[in-house]
Amino acid sequence: MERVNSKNIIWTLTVAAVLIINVYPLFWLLWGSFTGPEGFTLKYYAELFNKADFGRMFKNTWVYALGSTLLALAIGIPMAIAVTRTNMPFKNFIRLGSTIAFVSPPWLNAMAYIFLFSPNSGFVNVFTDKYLGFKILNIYSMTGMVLVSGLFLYSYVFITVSGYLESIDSSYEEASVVSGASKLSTILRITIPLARPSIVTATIFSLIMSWGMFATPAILGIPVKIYVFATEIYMLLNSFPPKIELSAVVAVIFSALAIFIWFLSSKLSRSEDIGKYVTIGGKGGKKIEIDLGPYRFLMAGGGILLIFSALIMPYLIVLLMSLSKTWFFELSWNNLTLANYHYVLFELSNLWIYLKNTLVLAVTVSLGVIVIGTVVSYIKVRTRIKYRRHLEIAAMYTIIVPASAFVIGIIWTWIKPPLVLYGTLWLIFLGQMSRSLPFGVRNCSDGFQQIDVSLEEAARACGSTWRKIMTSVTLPLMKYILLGTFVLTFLSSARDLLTPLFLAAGSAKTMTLSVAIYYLWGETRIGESTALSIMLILLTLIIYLPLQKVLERSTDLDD
Amino acid sequence: MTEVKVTNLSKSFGSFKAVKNLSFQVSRQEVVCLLGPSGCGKSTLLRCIAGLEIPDGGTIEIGGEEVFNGDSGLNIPTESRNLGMVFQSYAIWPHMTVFDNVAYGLKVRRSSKNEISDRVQKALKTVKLEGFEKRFPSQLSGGQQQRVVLARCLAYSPRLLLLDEPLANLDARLRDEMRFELREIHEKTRTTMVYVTHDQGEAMAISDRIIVMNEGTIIQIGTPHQIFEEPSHPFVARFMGDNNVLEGFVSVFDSCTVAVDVPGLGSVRCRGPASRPGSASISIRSKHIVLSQKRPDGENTFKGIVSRSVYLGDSIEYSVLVGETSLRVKSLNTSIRFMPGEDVWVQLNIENLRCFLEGSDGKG
Ligand SMILES: Nc1ncnc2c1ncn2[C@@H]1O[C@H](COP(=O)(O)OP(=O)(O)O)[C@@H](O)[C@H]1O
Ligand SMILES: [Mg+2]
Repeated sequence: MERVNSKNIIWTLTVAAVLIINVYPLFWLLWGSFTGPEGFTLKYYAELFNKADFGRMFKNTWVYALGSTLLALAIGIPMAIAVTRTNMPFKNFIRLGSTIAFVSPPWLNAMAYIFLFSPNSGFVNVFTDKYLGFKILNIYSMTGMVLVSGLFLYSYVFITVSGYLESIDSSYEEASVVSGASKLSTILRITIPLARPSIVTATIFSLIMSWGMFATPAILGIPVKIYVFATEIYMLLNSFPPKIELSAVVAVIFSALAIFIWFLSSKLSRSEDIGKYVTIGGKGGKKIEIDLGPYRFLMAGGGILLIFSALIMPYLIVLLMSLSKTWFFELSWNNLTLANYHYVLFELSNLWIYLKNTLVLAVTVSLGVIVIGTVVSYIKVRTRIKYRRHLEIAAMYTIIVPASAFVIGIIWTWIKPPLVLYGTLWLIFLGQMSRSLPFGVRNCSDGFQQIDVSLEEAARACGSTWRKIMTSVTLPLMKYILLGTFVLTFLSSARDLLTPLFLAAGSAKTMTLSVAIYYLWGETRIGESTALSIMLILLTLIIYLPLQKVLERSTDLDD
Repeated sequence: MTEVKVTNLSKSFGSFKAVKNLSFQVSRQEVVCLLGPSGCGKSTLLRCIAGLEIPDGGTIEIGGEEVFNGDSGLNIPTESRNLGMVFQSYAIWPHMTVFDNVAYGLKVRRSSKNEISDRVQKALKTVKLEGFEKRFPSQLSGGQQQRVVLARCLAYSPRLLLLDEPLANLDARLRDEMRFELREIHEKTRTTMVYVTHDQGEAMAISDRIIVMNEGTIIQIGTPHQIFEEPSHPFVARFMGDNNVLEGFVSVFDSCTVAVDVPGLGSVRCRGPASRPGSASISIRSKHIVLSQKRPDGENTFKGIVSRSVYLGDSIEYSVLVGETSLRVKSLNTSIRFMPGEDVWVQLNIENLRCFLEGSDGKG
């Protein structure tokens, strides 16, 4: 009997946690948008629609999201097919580069591209202006925002589609080649249709992710007053007095749109499984290698150029910016300095608080996600509890709500009694939990599904209790999946700007490194901001690289 | 002495009845096979005995002790039933060494260190895997993994061993070898076993008694010899292979013979009294059908035409078309071979025919 009780207690606590973290804020978001001092009202909706620039913001959001998504698909899908199904060289380099690009801080590329393409002092613009008489691109524009975001989002498309292609057998393509189809028609008629579910998913989530993206449109758009959904919410929150009701209205509108689009797409791909393809990785046996002939070098060249412009060059440029005396780097040794690092390390007050906050959040969120993720997916995969499907939806649905909308719900929930968490780290913890929980549940569910249930039944037949089975069989078999989930959540928490920025309430006590970087950048302290970015990257690398080794070795052992 | 007693057991999945009101007993130290086509409910029944599925009704006793009772709601959990179970998928824990796998049941039972190591050694010796303690499962062949699973169950001497198609994942040669070894292991340990298989050869080789199942019910219980030689139901005759089963109806009957009209073949005379006309099935082993060029003397002779003829070395297999009925014939006389298209005479010797009358509970 004692055993049954301990199980029930864990179930109840988990359900309560999921409801509080994921469902409760949605209720308050709706509440906030529909109530005023006088009770139920639509006046905030009316106010928003009457606002002169609402239409423009709405249009901007769509242009930005669609543009970034299309660019990401145009780059990501061919690369995913080339890496998983052709004899293109440098596959591993492109794969690794894209994975790192996906977990990199999103503001890095924006900073680097400003260095290259800012209208007056951008390195490339100055150069072409001088020798060719024109400037190539003004990065502070919609085109610039789409370009920089697309160069980040492609990595998501790439990971989704290539992971899916790796998980499916290539015998379909082999059959096509055997029956005499050319390489191109095999790719067009077999591979792409096979990958369709993952392409649909990648498209929808790219759209939703670009609605939630804040750093790029903030750094590139706000200075020239191009507002999209996420930056609009930020401006509403930071106006005086804060227009928190209007921000709730905007959040509700975009959440509803996102959920609507997702429903549409799940009808399209006939898959109702939320976030089915959001896991990273995927295992595969030997796959067919379509011979691209001489084009394989062209493709590899494209891939290398891509990794260079989406990852290597931005890192190098930000590194150079952090090491230079003047705002923008000049090619001379005299311009090199460590002053920025000196400032960040020794003069920036509160650095240690920011660092501590970042680490505390990353660790607690990662732990929380694997604990709740494990229990929710255990309930989903291994039990017949009645409402397990609902529990899964409650834990997963936040993935289809734009990040910037959900944080508004969190503010509404915890800003007033009985429990005021606004202005504490708890709020950021809750925000990041709701963001990362879907990934955790998805990864752990995959894990449980990979573990044949007879492994647990065998332990029961041997006389083992539930608790003992968990600790001696199930969790040890899950350990690499749990570790992988921990690492990913840790990285995404450490580089997260949106949640701590929106929820920190401007207080140094709750600021993280990413928020400090953003504020420094806002104060045009470019050198200091980039120096702090480099330090944040080093910090994540110190944690990521050793674990990455372990994770790689674990997948070798499996086969 | 009875080790397992199942009474009126039933189990449904939704509206699908996988196990329908079954009763049987297994004696101590006996090996009993549950034999039947795939999907007939064997695994479900075995998992009910193990406690991995909760039956809808009935009772299960193990070692004289009730472990499940649908009426009183009693359900002893799996881990307290003192069982060993071998799964088709082996279910060896990949993160534990052979030693740890085998020691698991003992550790759970909090045996002392010395006892654990003694018993693990003994179990590994029984399955001929000494010296493999430190290996991980991935470093073993399929047959060796199978032995680890057996050792894991034997180590803690459970009172009952349940095996669910344990040899299904092995290749044919290894499977034949393991049959004998399983039998040997049983000689050594005398553990009561309930063994699920869909392979009649396996069931014959391993079991003391066979329970033939179909669609969730028991069709016949008997020794391998009884099941093979005296099937009590056309289903058993058909399932035990090598049998031609012909459907017809009784036209003439008296106290010791019946004539069964088989459409498309003709009238066949069989042993066995019948009290009334009705449907009937006849079975005859393919090796008992005699082919000849000239019309033989005696009853039950039919003219047919060879449609297929396959030389198998020690025998020849024919398909012979008599009227519209195709008969499988196995001839051990390889000196004469009929070729497709040839006319032959077929004789169904009354001694070798079994007749099952409809409506007499399958008993012929
Ligand atoms: N968990 C389950 N849910 C629904 N149907 C099941 C389940 N387990 C078994 N069945 C069904 O019950 C029937 C018997 O299954 P099983 O006992 O596994 O057959 P066998 O082991 O004889 O091949 C099958 O038709 C199968 O589809
Ligand atoms: Mg089965």
